Amino acid sequence: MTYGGRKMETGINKIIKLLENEISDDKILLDFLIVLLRKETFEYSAWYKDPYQRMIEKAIALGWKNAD
Amino acid sequence: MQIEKISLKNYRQFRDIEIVFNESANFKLHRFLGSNGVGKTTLLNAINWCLYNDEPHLTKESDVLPIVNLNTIKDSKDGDDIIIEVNIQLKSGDNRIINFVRRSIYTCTKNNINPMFKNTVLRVRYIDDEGNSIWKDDEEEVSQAVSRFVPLKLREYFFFDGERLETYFTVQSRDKIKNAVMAISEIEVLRRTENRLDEILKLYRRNSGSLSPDLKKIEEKISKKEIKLKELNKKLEGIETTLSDSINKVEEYNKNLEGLPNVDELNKRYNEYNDARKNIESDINIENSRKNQFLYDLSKILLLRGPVSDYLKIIKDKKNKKEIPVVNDKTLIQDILSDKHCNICNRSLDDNSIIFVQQVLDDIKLSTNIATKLMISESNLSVIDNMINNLNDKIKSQGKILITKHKYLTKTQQMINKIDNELSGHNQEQISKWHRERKTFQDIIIYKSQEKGDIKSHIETTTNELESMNVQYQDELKKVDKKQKYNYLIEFTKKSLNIIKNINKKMIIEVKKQIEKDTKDNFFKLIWKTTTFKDVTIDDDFNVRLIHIDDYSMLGSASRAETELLALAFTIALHNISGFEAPIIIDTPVARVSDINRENFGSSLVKLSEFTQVILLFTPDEFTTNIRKIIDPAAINKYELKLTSDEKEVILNVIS
Repeated sequence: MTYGGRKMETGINKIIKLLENEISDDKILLDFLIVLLRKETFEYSAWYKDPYQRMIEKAIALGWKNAD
Repeated sequence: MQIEKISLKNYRQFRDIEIVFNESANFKLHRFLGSNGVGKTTLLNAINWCLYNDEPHLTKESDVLPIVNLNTIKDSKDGDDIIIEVNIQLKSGDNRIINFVRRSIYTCTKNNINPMFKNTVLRVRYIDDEGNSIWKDDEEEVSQAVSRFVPLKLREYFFFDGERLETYFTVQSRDKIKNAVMAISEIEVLRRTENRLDEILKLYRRNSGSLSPDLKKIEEKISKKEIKLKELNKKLEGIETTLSDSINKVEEYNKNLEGLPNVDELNKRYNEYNDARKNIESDINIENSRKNQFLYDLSKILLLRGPVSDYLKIIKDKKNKKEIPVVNDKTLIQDILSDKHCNICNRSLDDNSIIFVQQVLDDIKLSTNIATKLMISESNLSVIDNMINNLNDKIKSQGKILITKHKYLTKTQQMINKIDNELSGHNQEQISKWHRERKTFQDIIIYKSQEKGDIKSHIETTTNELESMNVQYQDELKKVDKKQKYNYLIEFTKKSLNIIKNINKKMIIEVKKQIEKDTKDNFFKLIWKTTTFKDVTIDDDFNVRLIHIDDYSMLGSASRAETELLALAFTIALHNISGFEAPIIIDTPVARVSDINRENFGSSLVKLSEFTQVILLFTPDEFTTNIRKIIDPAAINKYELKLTSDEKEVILNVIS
């Protein structure tokens, strides 16, 4: 499968796949980290303008609890 | 994605040219042939210009010329706008078409040969499999489209000069390779994220210090420990870099010293043999003096040898005849004389007989004296005779000693000559310098390996201490953070950071494994030698090692073509890990490879085109008859680039 000429299972997509396997039971954390990584790739910089701390606070406000 | 077509208008020597790259079921190979300065590198630049708006392969000669075609400028009037356009048409595996079209506008001015730059725009057009097309010109969207084809930071792994393959594994390129792997696999994204989360975690901890003095103390301790850990990690990184550089250096020296004599070792042996020769010569002189002394001693008594020998012979004869020692019965004869009667014949002596017997008695006296003298002489003469024989024996034995010494001298001299031969014609100073420098790096490897072990154990201890401080911190935080303000923030950030760190480690391991496997597969798929190489390995620092069948690392001593092939195999592995299915364009692909290896390398490029689109730009010098025989049967498109008679425009000839 390709995305604009690039295989999906590579680079950031591969990282996200690994992430999904690692924390499948913590949706808030998973979403947060995916957004973070997308933000860092500058792929969708316009979509995620929030600074990190604001994003962390949002995740806590969503009711995040440490499952460990 | 494959390049299907490139159209160039008014771009440097390309006034209006369309190059088609046909599809083929077998080899995706296209070749260009053109002398230097005709436009091969300009084509490579045109692709870069279209996609990234720069020309990284520009020569000094081209740099001073305007980007606008010279004939177009000549045909334009003052104030005319000239459009430069490069259109790259790509086709994806699912039959969608993408066009990257860069247009720049330049205005001609009367007093300036260089038209004035006005603007440049890159647009992208998507055509789906049903023929519906849509143009995009939003800067971010277009830049993303380029990034999905070949991102700027990775372009040099897709569009490059053949020279790049040659210098791929030098020490200078090592960091570049590591950075490229990090960029290609997007591990650098994880690193950036890790750093940011780490900063935020520290910030939260610092802020939480206001909750209690104890918490502040622990936080300060943690900060100090973290700084220490960071320093240790930096030190470790430095050691690893030095180690890796030293290993590469040793390999470089191995390559330089391949087939050359070990001059230091040979000189050492030369000196040893030379010393031995001097000793033997001195021994020979001593033994010769000794022999001469014997000869001198012998010469002094040698004249006596004849007479001594004669006398001894006489004595011997006399002894044999029992003449000596003389039987001396004087009393009997004296009794006969006094009795005047012979008791032996029992008759009386007359006067004549008495005179006769008296005479015999006198004679016996004389013979006894001679015999006694002879007897005495015999022992003295024997001493002289023994002396002569002894000296003779000594001279003979001395002769034997001298023969042995001379044989040894000849053998030693032969060894000296052999070493002389081995050393002759070589720059001994240079070789010796290389040996010394290699030894320095070998010593560094030993020393740094020990240091690495020490630092690693130090890091482990510090990490454990840090962990225990963190537990202490968490416990204290739970006590004082009644509203759980920082508790959640820190826990969440810490968990995020740990996950990212984990993924980072996993990614590095996976990427390394994948690149190692792909490089190895590609190399063994393309290499022409079947029994020389055993393995291709990649260490944690992404240093590529080529392992000989006898288990030693041999990249330093591999031929230029083999090194270039390994670089190509590694490049393809990078392509694979990147996920970008873009073509490979190589300018002067075999120029630096000679002899049979050039043909082998050419064949490998043909093989490569079975699974990747390959565009090769040859000069006539490198495109030998043999290379032509290998490349042309597989090439779908064969083009020849020539210049018009005024040398301002490229003519594209299609070779059938």
